[in-house]
Amino acid sequence: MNRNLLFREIKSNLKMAVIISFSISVYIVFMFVLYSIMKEQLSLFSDLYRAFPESLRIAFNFKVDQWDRVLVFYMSYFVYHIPIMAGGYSIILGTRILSKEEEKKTAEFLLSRPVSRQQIIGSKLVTLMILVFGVNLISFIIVLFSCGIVSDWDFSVKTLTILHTYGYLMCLFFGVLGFFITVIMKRAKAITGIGIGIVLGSWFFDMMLRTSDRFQYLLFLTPFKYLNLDVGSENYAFEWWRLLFFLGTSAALIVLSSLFYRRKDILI
Amino acid sequence: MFAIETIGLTKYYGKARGIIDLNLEIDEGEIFGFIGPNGSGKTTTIRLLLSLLFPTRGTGTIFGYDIVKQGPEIKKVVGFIPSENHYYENMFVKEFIQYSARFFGIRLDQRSNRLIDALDLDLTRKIADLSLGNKKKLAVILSLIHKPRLLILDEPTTGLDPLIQNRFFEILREENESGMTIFFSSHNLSDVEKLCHKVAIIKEGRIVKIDDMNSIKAKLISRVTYRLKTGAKECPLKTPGIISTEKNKEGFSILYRGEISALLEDLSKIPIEKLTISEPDLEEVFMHYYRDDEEK
Repeated sequence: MNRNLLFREIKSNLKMAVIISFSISVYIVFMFVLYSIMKEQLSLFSDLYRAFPESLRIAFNFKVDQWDRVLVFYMSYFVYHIPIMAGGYSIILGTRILSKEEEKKTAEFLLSRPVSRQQIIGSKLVTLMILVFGVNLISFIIVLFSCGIVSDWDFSVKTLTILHTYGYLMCLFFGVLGFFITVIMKRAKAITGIGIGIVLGSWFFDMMLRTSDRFQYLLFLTPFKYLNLDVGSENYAFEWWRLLFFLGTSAALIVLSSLFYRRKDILI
Repeated sequence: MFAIETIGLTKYYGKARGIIDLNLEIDEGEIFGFIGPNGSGKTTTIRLLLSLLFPTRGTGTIFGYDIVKQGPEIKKVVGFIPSENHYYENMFVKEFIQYSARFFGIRLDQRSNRLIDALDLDLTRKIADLSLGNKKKLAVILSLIHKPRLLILDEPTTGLDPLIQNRFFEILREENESGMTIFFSSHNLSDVEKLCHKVAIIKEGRIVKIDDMNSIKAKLISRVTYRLKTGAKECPLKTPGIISTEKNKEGFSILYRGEISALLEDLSKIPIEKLTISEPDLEEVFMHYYRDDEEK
């Protein structure tokens, strides 16, 4: 890793991270304001939700009958702002952070400085990890205080921390995946559309598969399978196979990215 | 040890030719010209030397460092001016120079300030607001602030006005006098002519000729122009070695290869009012090389 490059990358990508953090924070606050308003009439929502077709209920995984517990309510929406919004940001950052050097032809400047390709990869990936962590941390803090305020701190902070750790690891997985895709492209370019498509596509894929008994085994192909959303469970904890998926695949993608980039022709 | 040495250096982009069997030996302290038309492989060679590309086969070293395995070591001792300058548009000039200098573990000092003053670059502007010429000046400063042992230039004068070009050449001569090796790639032959000790001519990815500048210019061809006396009849010259004869308003212009005395003897037989013999410019030499090669 090169410190000079790292600081410059953080600085140049900070604005986007702040905008995303702000957007997610507004969304979270809005969600909890709504929750505090509808808390008294949860039975109505529960009845309404039960009227939905079963397949839709399974697909959306809203456990409305348990919404009196703030974390179960929060889990219903967690998917949208962490894996999808923050994950979407992460994959966009992953696809842009290295490819923009080739696309804007600044790679010629960067690669003619005394910095190795491993250092470039290292600095870019650490930037990705830091900024995605920052976005997730801000979301976590906002959620923590929002949950505390609407429930008089009647929830498990540990459960929330575990849920957000999974969320961070998922974002990281998406970010590293986006990074890897641009590294293996002959002429790297920011594939924002493809990145968003991967996040939303895997989410839709996961939803569809959950409604079918026949293809349950295919769920293991989507990263959403490895998120543990069962926050209502008393035994909610880290599970090794979920962590192994996120950490293992991310580590493998980093190693492969590094190997590809080490001997990649920079065609600008 | 050579400043640059390549042995059979070859690069293919898939099936497309980049360079083929490039053999170069450039001594330390030399100003080496590398000329050829667009698409001949000049930039590919430079990108291989800087590890932006990796060779299909062959090897290359810069001051003994392998271009494939020791890229960062090479870049510590190399300065580079690319043909097109693409920088981070949202940075300010001073901030960007400092950013670049930090990669070499240096700060802006007397040397960098001298370069900035000599090239008259405004440090307070944003890179996005710089003209092509100012971006080139920035490239010159970036390439020299760490006092490299080797300077690689790829079409360095594009966008520089004649005044700044002269200052730039002065700087290059000064740096060369203090020991810096210069690899000067260009299709602008007059630039190479002004500065280089030795020249390699590259065509379609292969080196056609490597020779010292004086030999290339002098031993092969001469430009002879003459004007006939008023009313004198045109008389064709029969000396072997005349490559081309052009007639224009000023008279006749001959490109000639061979002993000049033989041509003068032939010329003495016709009534000439004015005669000049000059060294051909490199453009002519260059074209001549190409034509010769094609004839073979």
